[in-house]
Amino acid sequence: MTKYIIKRILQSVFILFVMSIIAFALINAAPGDPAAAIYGGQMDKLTQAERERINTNLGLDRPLATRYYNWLSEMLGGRMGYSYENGKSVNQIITERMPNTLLLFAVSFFLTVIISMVVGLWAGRHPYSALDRGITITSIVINGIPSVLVAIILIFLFSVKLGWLPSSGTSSIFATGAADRIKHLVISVLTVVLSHVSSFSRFIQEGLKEELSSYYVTVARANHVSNRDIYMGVMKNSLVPFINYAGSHVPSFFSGFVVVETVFAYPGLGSMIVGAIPIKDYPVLMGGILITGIVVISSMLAVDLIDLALNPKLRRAVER
Amino acid sequence: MSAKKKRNHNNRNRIWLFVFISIVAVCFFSPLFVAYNVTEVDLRNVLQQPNSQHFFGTDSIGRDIFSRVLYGGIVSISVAAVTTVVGLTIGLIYGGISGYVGGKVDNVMMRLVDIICSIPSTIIVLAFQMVFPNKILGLVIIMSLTNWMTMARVIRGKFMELKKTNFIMLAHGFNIPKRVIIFNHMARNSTLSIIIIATFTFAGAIVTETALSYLGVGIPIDTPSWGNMINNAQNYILTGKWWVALFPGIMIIISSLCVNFTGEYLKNKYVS
Repeated sequence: MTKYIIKRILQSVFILFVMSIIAFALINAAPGDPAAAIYGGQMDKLTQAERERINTNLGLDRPLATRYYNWLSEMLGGRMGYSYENGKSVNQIITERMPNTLLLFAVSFFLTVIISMVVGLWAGRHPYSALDRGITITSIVINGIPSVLVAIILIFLFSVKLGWLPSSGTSSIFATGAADRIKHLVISVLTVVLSHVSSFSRFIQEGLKEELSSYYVTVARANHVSNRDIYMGVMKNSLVPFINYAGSHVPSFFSGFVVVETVFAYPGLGSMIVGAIPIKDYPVLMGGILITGIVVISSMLAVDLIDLALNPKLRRAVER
Repeated sequence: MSAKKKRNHNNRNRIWLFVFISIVAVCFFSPLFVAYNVTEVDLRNVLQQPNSQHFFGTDSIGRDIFSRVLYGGIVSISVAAVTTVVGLTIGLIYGGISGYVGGKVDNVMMRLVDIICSIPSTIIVLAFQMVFPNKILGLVIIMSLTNWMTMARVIRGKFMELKKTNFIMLAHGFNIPKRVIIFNHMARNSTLSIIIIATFTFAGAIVTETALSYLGVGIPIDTPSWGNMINNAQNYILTGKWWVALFPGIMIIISSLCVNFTGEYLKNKYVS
C-alpha cells in the first residue's frame, strides 16, 4: 500500500517535470521578441545594440538547457521571476489570483459532484422515467454546446433579461462583504457546473442501471432482500467508480476555467495565462502553467488517494 | 418496441444527419449565392438589425452576418474535419501499435496517454499556439495533437479484444503477414468504433475551435469562422445587439448537436 502511494506520488512529480519541460521548450521556440513586451509600441526605435543588451540582461542569449536549469532551480526556490510586462513579481501576481481560481474550482467541483450524485442516483433508480431520459438527452445537448455559449446564454438570461446578477469581475466597486462576492461568483460557477453535471450524472445513472441488472441483484431479489437494502448496496457499488471518474475530469475543469474566467473577466489563473500570450510574457506564462499543473496534479492525486481509501477492489489489486 | 415505433425512432435520428448534411451543403455552396463580400466593411450600415437586405443583420463594422455565417461554416467545418481525420490517424496508429504489441510497450505507451490527459488541454493548446501564432495550419496541428487520446484508448482496447479472437489467431497460424492482419483484419473490424469516435471527435473539434477563436488564439481574426464571430459576444449581448452573436451561436450549437446525436444513435444501435 505504502509502495503504491509512493509510486503514485513519484509519478505525479514526473508528470510535472515533463510538463515543465514541454511548456518551457514550447514557449522558447515561439517567435516574437520579449523586448516588445517591455517597450511596446516604442520597440521600433531601439537599435540592434540596445536589443541585444535587453536580451543579455534577461539572459535570453544563453543556451536553452542552461536557461531551463536556471529557471528550474529558481522555481524550486519559490522565485518565479518578474513579469516582462509590468515588472511585478510573478509570485505576487499568482498569489493574488490563485485564491480566486481555487475558490471557483472548489465551489464548482463540489456542487457538480453533489448535484450529479442526487440526480444520477434518482434517475438510475427510476429507469425510463422522464428524468432518466431527460438526463441522457441533456447530457448530449450540453456536451455539444461550447461553454462560451453557455456562459453567454446565462449572461443574457441573468444579467440582461432579469438583471439579477452582475456579468463580470469579483466584486462591485462600493459593495463589500460575502453576499457581493457570492453574487459575482454565481454565473461563473453555474456555467462550469452546467457543462459538467449532466455527463457526471449520466455516468452514475448508467453505472447504477448496470449494477441493478447484475447477477447478484437478481439473486438478492430472489431471496427476498428488500428493495431498500438492494438499493443501498447497489448505490455504494456504483458510486465507487464515480470517484475515479470525477478525478479524471479535474483537468477538464481547469480547461474550462481558461474560457470561463475570460468571459466573465474573472481575475484567476486562466485569464492570466490568456492575457500573457499575445504579449509573450514568458515568466507569467510559465508560472501560470506550472502552478495550474501543480494544482491539477495534486487534486488528481488526492482523488486517487480517496479512491484508494474507499475502494476495496482497488486496495486488493494494489496489495497483490 | 413495435416495428412502427422503431422505424419512427430511426427516422427521427436520421433527421440529425440530414440537417447536418444540409448545413454543410448550404455553407459550401454559399459563395454561389450570397450577395455580400464576407470581409467588405460598410461603415454606413453598422450594427443593423436583421432586415430584408441583411437577413441576419450586420456586425460592428458593417459586414453582412448572413454571408459571414455561411462562409464561416466552410472554415469551421473544414478545420474540424481535417483535425478529426489527422487526430484519428494518429490515434489509430498509436492505439494500434499499443494494442497489437501489448506487454511492456503497451504499458509505457498508455501511461504516456494518461500523462497527456492529465494536463488541461486548453493550456497545452495555448502553449502550442505561441509557436504557430494565428495560422490556420498551426491551429489544425495543435488541435490534432490534442484530440487523438480517446481514439488511441478505444482502438487499443478493440485490438486487444480482437487479438484474442479465433480468426486472428488462425491468421497468425497461417503465417499471414502482420501488415495484412493489422490493416485488413483488425482495423477493418474496428471500423464501427472508428466512425463512432470520429463523430464525437468532430463535434469536440467544433467546440474547441469556438473556444479558441473566442479567446483570440484560434483562427486568424480576419478569416470569418463561427468561433471568431462570437468573439466578444458578451459585450454585444450586454448592449442589446443580440443578432451579432445569436446566429453564429445557433449554427455552432445545431451542427455540433447533429453530429453528437448521430454518434449517439450509431453507438446505441450497433454497440450496446
